[in-house]
Order: sequence, then structure tokens, then C-alpha cells
Amino acid sequence: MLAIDVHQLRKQFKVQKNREGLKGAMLDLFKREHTEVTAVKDISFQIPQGEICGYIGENGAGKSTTIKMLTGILVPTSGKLLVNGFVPHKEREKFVHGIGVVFGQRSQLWWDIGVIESFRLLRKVYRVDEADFRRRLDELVETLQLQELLNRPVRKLSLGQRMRCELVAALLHQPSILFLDEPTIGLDIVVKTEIREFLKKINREHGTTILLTTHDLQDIEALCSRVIMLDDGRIIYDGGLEELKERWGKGREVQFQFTDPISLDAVSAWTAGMDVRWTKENDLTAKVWIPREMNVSDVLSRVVGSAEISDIKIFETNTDEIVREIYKTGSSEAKEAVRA
Amino acid sequence: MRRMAQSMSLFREYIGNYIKTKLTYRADFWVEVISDLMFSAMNLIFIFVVFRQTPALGDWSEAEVVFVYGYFMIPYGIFSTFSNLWNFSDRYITKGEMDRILTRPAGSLTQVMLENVDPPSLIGSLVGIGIMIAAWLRLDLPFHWYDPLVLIVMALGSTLVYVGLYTALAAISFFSDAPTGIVPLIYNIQNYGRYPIQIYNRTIRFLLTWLLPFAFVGVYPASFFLVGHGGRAMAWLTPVVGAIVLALGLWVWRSGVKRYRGAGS
Repeated sequence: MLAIDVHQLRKQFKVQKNREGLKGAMLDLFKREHTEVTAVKDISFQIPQGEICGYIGENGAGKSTTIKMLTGILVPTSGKLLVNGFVPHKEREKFVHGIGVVFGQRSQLWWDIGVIESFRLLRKVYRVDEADFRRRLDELVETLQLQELLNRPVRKLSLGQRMRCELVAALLHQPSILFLDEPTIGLDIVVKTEIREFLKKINREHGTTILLTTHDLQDIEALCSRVIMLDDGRIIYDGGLEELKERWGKGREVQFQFTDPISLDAVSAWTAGMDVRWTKENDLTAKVWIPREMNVSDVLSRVVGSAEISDIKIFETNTDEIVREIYKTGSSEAKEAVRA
Repeated sequence: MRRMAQSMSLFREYIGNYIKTKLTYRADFWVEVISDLMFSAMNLIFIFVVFRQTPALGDWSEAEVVFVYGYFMIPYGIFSTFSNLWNFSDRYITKGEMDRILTRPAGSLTQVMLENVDPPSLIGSLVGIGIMIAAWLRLDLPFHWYDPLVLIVMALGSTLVYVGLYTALAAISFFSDAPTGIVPLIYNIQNYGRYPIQIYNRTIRFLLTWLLPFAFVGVYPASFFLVGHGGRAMAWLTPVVGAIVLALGLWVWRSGVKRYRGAGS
């Protein structure tokens, strides 16, 4: 069964136009002008149960709007939307029993009361029975090591501690889908890693489907088997992470450290006839860029046969760079490339 | 019915948490109680000062006006406890907490109300009962066995008038991005309802009876117990008006939520 099935989903907002100056403000008082802004433009995708899917894109690309539609907070302008077998905005109260939501920048917990009190309140709200609640809570508290935090009021927690509590709060009622909107924003590397491990664990053990938006591509690399990339309200990429790298990664770079000084002409001469590009870092080091379709070892063997080498490093283009490249080149070009 | 039961059990839980929170901020609690009481005392003193100048307002004596005020405090206290929506627009719309409300399996208005319960306001209701009893004795009113029951029905009806009106007002922030001065305006009009409506001119009387029925949170239901202040019919309209205003309030709220979910932020 599909956990999320989205078909030609669109969301338009009416945005007020504020006219300039005092006169404009007076005019606005009597007659407001509106412009239609389309935040999400007819997107379609399916996510099967048990998948961890990353949802990325620049600020304002439409990620949050999509998540809000998927969680039933917003009503789509048009298109079909089925999450867990429900149309989210139609049977809201029944539907939200099956989902968990964490918005990184907003708290689910009550500020002034102990963490455990918040959990108890949520138990009542979601009507989880006491035994299930106990079992679930123990398990989550154990994995995230929250024992000492349980009796502290939320306002006295650090961001990392709060975030871990938020995750528990979102999972107490055993949702089958978890929506995370920037769950690792502002966290240090240790907490980030902990949270990633935790998400992987619940996905593995409970088969929880996870959809997360993030700006930290390391989240994606650590967690997601699949990435959906959004730009200006449209999906510009939907597929595996490896594929993304392959399609967009333009090649590899190898850095050589030589024992004797070299010149750019000399090194270029060694690989004559090959479609590679040399750059000289200093007298003893040079880098060669090798396109993806070429074999690295061919180049290596030529260089190794021509000079004494003290060190070799191979750089793979990392996801950050790839994504930056895609954002920069803009969606039009990217779209064609993906379709091709 | 199951919804009611669920709301009740949630209510217990929220009150429990409220008490726990307030135990950490004890000073805060007492400051609130005392300022509430001082506010009521000021209003009473105002009535006494007025009657220092004149023996009667219309055909209302001092004790009668105090009686009406005492009655008013009962529904007002209940309303303030459960329907503390003054900061709704800022907290839920501007700061976006409505998103969180909508991802939880309980009614949106129920959740907002429960998150803002304010039990100290109930002390005002108790004081109101005290004032009513004092005025009752001073006026030497007859006492019937059914009076307490009628009082409960009237107080509930009046509370619903307030809850309905202020729910509708809170829901306005779903429609207008910058909440205007409408709440303070209504709050001022509401204060007229505490005094005998017969002392006003016809326009205001009409306004307070049929448009913003604040007279049903004061003079009309209170007249039931007073001798010689006419229409028991008007008094019996209180629960009816309460039900109608509440229904309207809920309707405005619902369309507001729909609108919010269309617009988002």
C-alpha cells in the first residue's frame, strides 16, 4: 500500500499587494488588490510504506506548503491527495491519529510543565491506552536517553534535548507516517547523529514511513534512500541519492603530490589524448579532473609511470556541491536534464 | 456524546497541568486573583458613588443595581475561565500555533480553550454569588425552592452568550491579518450590559438586546428574581439567546478555520 499518494497537487495563495506611500495605503484601506501566488505547482509523487524520503529545495520552494497539505493543515487548491488512505483535510481528526509531526522551529510540548506531563497530556489527546503508552514511552526514553530530562520543564531544556523530546511526543501514539520539517536545524553534530540513528531505528523496527525536509544534506545521505527535489513549486528530481550523484556529479578529482617539482605542461603531456584537465596547486602538487565516464585507474597508471609520487587523494563530488550546482543553474535547465 | 466525554477527560488533564504550572508561579496566581477582585471592587464602588448622588436610577434602587452586578459576575467568571481567548490572534495566528492544534485529534476550539483555561477567574463568580446574596437579603426578596435551579440555567445561558460572541470575535483574526480594535470596542459595549438596560435610550437598548445581546448577561436574567422589574419572558429568553449566539459563534469559528486552512502562512 502507498503511504502517500499525491497527484497533480496545487496550492495557490492570495497575497495582498501593498501599494506604495501614504496614498497607496489609503487606497488599500478601501480596495485591496490581490495577486495569486502558486506555491506548489501540480506536483505528483508516491511514497510506499516504510520508505524514508528526503524532501529538499531552497527556501520558498514550496516544501513547507506541501508538508502542511500532507498533514491536513492546509487544503489544496486542486489535485488529489491520499495519505494513509485518508484525504487529510477531510477527516482531519481521524487522520491525524495515524501521523506524527515535528516542526523543527515550533514546539509540540507545553512550555511550563515537565516533559513527562506533556507526554501524559498527549496520551489523553490521542487516547492511547495506559499499557501501550508505558511500553512505548519506555522504549523511546531508553533509545534517546531521556531518563534525567523527564521531570524538567521544557523551558529549561537545551535545543538538542528539546528536539529529542519532540520526537518522542510525535511518536507516542505509534503513527505509521512521520513528517519532519527540518528536524536537525540548529543542532550540534552529536545530537544530529543521534537523531539520525534514532530515525533509522524506528524506521527499521516499526516500518515507520518518514518524510523529512532539510537543508542539511548529510541528513539525506545518512537516512534517505530517495530524494525529491523541489524548485519553485515543481519537482525537478525524484529518485535515488546515488542516481542524483551520478547524473549531476560531473566527475572526480585526483590530487597528486610529487617528490620533484613539476610543470603544468609536463603533467598535461603524460595524459595527452585523454579528456582530463590539470590544475597546479603548487610546485609539488597538481590536481587532475576526470570526467565520470572515464576510468580513474587509466589516468593513475599513466601518471604513476611518469613520475615519483608521494601521495594520492581522490575526491568525489559531494552532494552539497551537486545540489548547490543544481540550485544555481536553475530549474529550467535542470528539468530538461532530468527528463532527458 | 463520546466527544463530550473525551473533552471532559481532556479538561481534567489540562486543569491538572494548569495547577502544576501555577504551583511553580505561585506569586503570579495571587496577583491575578487580587487584580481580578480589585477590578470588581472598583466597579462596585462606582455604583455606590453614583447612588451617593441620586437615590434611584430610573426606577432601580442601589441594592437592585448591585444585585444585577452580582449576577453578572457569575457568568462572567465562568466565561473568563473557559474562554480566555484574548491573546488568540497573537499566539495562534501570528505565531502559527494553529498548525499544531490542527495536527491533533481533538476539536480545534476545544483545544484552544483548554490550553488557556484560567481557573482564578472562577473566584469572581463566587464573589458574585456573595454579592447577590447580600443584595437579596437587603432587598428582602422572597426565596423559592426553585430559585437556585433557575439561577444555574440563567447563568449557563448568559455564559453561552459570552462564549459565542467572543468565539466569533476571536475567529475574526482568521479573516483579517491585522486584528483591529474591534475586541476593545465590544468589550466596552459589554460593560453597558451590567447595568439596568431601562436607563438607556431605545437605540442602545435595541443594540444590547438583539444585536450584541449583552443585556442577557445581566439585567434580563437577574430581573427574574427581582420584584417589579417586569418581563419574566425576557428572563426565560436567556438560555435561548445563549444557544443561538453560541451556534453563531461556532459557525463563524468553523468558517474561520476553513479560511485559515485555505490561506496558511
